[in-house]
Amino acid sequence: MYKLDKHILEIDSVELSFGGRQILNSVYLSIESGKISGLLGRNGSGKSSLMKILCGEVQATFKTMRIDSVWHKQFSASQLMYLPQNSYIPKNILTKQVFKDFKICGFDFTDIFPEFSVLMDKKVGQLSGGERRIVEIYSVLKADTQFVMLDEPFSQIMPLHVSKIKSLISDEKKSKGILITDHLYQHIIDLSDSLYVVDNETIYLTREVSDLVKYGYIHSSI
Amino acid sequence: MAKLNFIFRFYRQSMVVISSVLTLIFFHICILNNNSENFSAPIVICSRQLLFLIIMYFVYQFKKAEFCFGYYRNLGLSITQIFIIPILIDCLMSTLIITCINWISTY
Repeated sequence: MYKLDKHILEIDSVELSFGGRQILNSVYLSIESGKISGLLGRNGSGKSSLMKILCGEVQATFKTMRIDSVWHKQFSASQLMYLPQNSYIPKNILTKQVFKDFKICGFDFTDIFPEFSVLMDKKVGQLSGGERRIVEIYSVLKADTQFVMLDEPFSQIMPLHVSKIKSLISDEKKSKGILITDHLYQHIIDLSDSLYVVDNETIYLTREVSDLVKYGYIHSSI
Repeated sequence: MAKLNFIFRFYRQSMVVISSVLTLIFFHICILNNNSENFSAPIVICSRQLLFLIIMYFVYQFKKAEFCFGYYRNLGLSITQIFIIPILIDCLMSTLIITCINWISTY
């Protein structure tokens, strides 16, 4: 059994603009241990920017961040890990080295994804886009951290592996707080305990799928 | 220790090529200035480091995500650890190399 210490990560009063265009305005978001928070929104609505602000890659005009009511200027890797949209592991590292670096058991990984046992001695750059993505998702999910942010984890992943990744994410929420975004919104709806939509510079907590229509994210006929 | 290992690996993967090319260029400058009385090692080292910093600044701007907020950020390294420590290592190494060249050239 997992022993879960309850933690809450909050980001508040986020203001962000690029070249005079306001992207986010007075945004508040919280992520809780033991829960998956889904983040949906149209292209350019600011989902990825919000994640980048949380991990320190983008500087917001204004923001406050805290974990368990303790203020932080930025979060360390032991507090928050981030899976960016694009591939982030240097291509010249051996796949097994990635697991060593993140102090993760490679055998557990190959138990879930047996086809990777022959790929462990290959460089990350020699893996296909989907294979690389699986290594990236697994390493971020399994690493020793309190919170995880996943930006488009299901892109490039084949359906057979999507179900495995989904069960991995569900397993990891027992010990972490997870924020996830992807345009394959059905997976996000399936996984999420709370679902947020970014629209018109701010974030709304949705209660039902019909809210996605209201915020212009999906068409009413879907 | 693990962090130091990552820093050295980052230096080897990302900076060593630039560092080697610069060292070669400045090695030639040393050779050209080899009637050594007018050759000033500190000026060569400082200008080399300045050029190195300018190049690294542009590399950082173009490869920002991978260098700072991707793999090494998730391993717990800060921007200072990622950039400043390798630059100090590079400064030390180039000082040693250029001092050696200077020393050899006096004999």
